Amino acid sequence: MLDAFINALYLAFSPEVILYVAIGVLMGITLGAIPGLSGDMAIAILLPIVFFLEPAAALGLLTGIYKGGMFGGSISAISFGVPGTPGSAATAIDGYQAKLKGYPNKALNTALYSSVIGDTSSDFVLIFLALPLAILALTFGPVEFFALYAFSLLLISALTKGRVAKGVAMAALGILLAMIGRDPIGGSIRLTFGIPELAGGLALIPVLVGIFAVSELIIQLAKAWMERTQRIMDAARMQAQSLLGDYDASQDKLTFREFRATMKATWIGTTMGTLIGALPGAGSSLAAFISYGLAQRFSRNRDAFGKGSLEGVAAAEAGNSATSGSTLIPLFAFGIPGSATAALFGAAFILMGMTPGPRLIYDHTEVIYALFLILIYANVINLALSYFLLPLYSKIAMIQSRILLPIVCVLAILGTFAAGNSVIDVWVLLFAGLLGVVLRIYHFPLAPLILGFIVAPGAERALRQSLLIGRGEWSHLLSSPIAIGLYATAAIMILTFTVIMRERK
Amino acid sequence: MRNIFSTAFTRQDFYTGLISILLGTVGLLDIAFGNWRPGPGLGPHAFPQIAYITLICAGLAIWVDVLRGKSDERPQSLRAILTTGVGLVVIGIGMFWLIGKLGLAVTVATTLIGASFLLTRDPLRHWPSTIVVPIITTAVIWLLFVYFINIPLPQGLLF
Repeated sequence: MLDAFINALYLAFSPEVILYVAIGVLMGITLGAIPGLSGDMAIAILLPIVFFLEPAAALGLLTGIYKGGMFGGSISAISFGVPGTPGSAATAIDGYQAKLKGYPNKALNTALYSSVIGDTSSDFVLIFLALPLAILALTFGPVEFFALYAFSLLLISALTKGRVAKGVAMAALGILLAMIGRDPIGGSIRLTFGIPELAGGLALIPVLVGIFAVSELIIQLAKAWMERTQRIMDAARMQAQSLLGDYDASQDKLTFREFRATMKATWIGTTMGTLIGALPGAGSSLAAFISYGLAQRFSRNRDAFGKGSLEGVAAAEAGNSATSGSTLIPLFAFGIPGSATAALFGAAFILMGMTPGPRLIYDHTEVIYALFLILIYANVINLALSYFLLPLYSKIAMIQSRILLPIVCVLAILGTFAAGNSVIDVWVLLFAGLLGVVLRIYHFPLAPLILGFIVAPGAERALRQSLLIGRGEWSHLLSSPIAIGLYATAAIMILTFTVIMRERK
Repeated sequence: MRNIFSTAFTRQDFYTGLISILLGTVGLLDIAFGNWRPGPGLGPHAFPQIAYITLICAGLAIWVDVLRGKSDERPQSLRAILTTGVGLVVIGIGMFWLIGKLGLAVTVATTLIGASFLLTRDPLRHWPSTIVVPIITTAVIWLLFVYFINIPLPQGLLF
């Protein structure tokens, strides 16, 4: 154990890995700050490239992008009132008001500090919970694993933004996409529509990159074509410039007293974000809004919320960022990605020859310990870089996405081909992109589709093994107390969140 | 009651629910009458069958929502987004085909310059960024894929 930790220290703190983390943080902040682009998109596009890097360097790059992207989204939210990422929508409520009132720097600093506090705390929760949960998962048989897969699919369908029925339909569609190719138990070919190249199934990378990144790129390109994004940004830029006349930079510095006053809101956000982030499908946007609502309820200055309150910025940003570590808990412990980002990290593990799940920590102890260390020090790098570069960041948000979009498209196509050296993957990428566009514009959530696609092979294997053991009796699926507990917990959680969401409306 | 049913046809989600139900029904018919080989235990058709039934149930639930007056709004700019999507697929395939003819550098630079021209119009067009940025990007992509990663890019025709 100690040897593994020492080797992990060498891996994590090698100059090459530190450099990749710093590059990742800068990339994440840049893409997160530009409305329409996001850290998740950058991770998706770079997935094929990590295949060619050393595991620690690859994970360092992805972690850096993830952390940078989390904070980057708040920059355009505060500077222009246009959230760079969905998770920063709650930050825009008070952040942009703070900007209009003449203290954008205080709001940006508050967002930075609360983001780093929330993120770091969440990473520690991941580190301390992943191992015990993985040990528990090692005792699971097919019945428990099927219950766990069903639990995740139910939760992600019910809690993802949008309507439950559409979430369930997407989970079913994801399962069907995963069924294309060879049956994992009998080996027969199914759902290939006579195309022999599909006998091996759909590869993970083109489906992930197509559904997440290419579909968003197509929509952003269409918007750029119609010049809508430009108008929003122009309006925001003109408004920002009109404010410069009254702006006094010397008055816009976050004092220690102001920082201390936001701590309660930061910890509310951190706690809620960590808890909600661990639930499959709940997501950073929900965490940020619930944190914001709770911080307002427990604040002494609740009337200031919505009018440029730094507490509001702190709660929303801490809630958003605190999902980052805990969302990886189900992936590390059970091999189930609870969010889009976790799915992308899961895909990266698979590309590097590591299977996400309870054996991940045991089979690749050094790399996983190195990742834990990277998760922590990436926050320090994020804090240091952001502290010095904060004045430049609002200018980053003004970069024209229309120039970057074609570049990202070309990278997606070449990267996908590079990962599998397969032309069929490029076809799958482009058609997955089109499918993603249709689903997005008809308001279907994409996270359940991806989770369905990823967990379907494991869920099918677990179900068929369970029924073989139970001699075809479906009641065998309820033979384990853990399985019954998981089904009951899913039902209670869905009911609780439904009530909370109704109250929020 | 009659009014509820007549307005349901005008709502967007009536049709998304219908597609979900049709997809599930066609899948179940394929399993019932198609060429599915039996396998051990439940067989290879069981899990797709569960997914198809779930799709039908989800479609019916979407219809129930529509009857209760809940429906997502009709998508805006549908034609522009779908045209861009199809355009991107065509450009992607064309680019891939051209790489085999003209090589990576020329094809990527041409594609990026063309895309920048298409996406920026006067007075927003900024000549250095529509020409210089694509050329620099092409150089970076070439370095990344050919020099550092050493990927065998397609040498012949795609089709």
